[in-house]
Amino acid sequence: MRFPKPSSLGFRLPSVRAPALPGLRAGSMTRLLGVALRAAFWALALATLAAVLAFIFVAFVPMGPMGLTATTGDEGTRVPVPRAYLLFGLGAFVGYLGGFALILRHLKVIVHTLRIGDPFQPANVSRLKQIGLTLATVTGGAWVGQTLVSRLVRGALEPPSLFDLVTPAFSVLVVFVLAEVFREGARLRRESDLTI
Amino acid sequence: MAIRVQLDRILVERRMSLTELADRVGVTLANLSILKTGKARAIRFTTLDALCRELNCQPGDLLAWSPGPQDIGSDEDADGAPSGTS
Repeated sequence: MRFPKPSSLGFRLPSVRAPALPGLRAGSMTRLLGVALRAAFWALALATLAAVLAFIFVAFVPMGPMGLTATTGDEGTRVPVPRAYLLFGLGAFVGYLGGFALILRHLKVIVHTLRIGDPFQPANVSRLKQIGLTLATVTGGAWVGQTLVSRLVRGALEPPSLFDLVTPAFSVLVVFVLAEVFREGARLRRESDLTI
Repeated sequence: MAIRVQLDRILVERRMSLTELADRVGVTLANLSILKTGKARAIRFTTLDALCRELNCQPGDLLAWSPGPQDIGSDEDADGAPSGTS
């Protein structure tokens, strides 16, 4: 089915352009991204280190059984947490933070290649794929962890639904598509380099 | 690739070095070496024009087509996969 063009109906639609950020050019945006990524990476790296230290502390320092209160409102459920569960939870937290720190590290390097004017490298293709895999593992693992915790504190916390995985799944898909785009870009760049 | 660049022969005939030709044409010595050794994937018309002007020859004197076994790695993607595959 063909739709009539607006001009054939006697009117013209106004052209809509996204307003440009004042004072920010492409190079400035890349620099800003680099600074933001660097700050976020170091914050996450420190948080991961703190979580690792907490894990080591709980693993090697003798302590009595801990009780945690899980609550979604005024009433809460007091749940005794065995040491093994605590270690598992801390380990999962380390994995969660470490996974995002790894993603940020890869993004930092990709933005650096962008700043030096050479983003379409084969190394960036593998970095993007690693970002996609890490994102899938971390978000999937977080979903499983939330499900386990909700079963541990039965009734106090709602288990996550499968719909909670839709946005992360789309994000992973977008990253893998970007990896393929970069792969093609690297191929075209190589062809361009070998064009005399 | 079946296209051969016969730069060696013409340089000997003109008694010119690759370095001198690179200076005259305005292409780096590295790129001209890539062209001479058959590793180039494409050549711009502007470069071909400059080569023919400096060497006083026709494009057909520089380029020849000789079908033979495909060079290994000449048609690969950035990650090693053959080009043109989806």
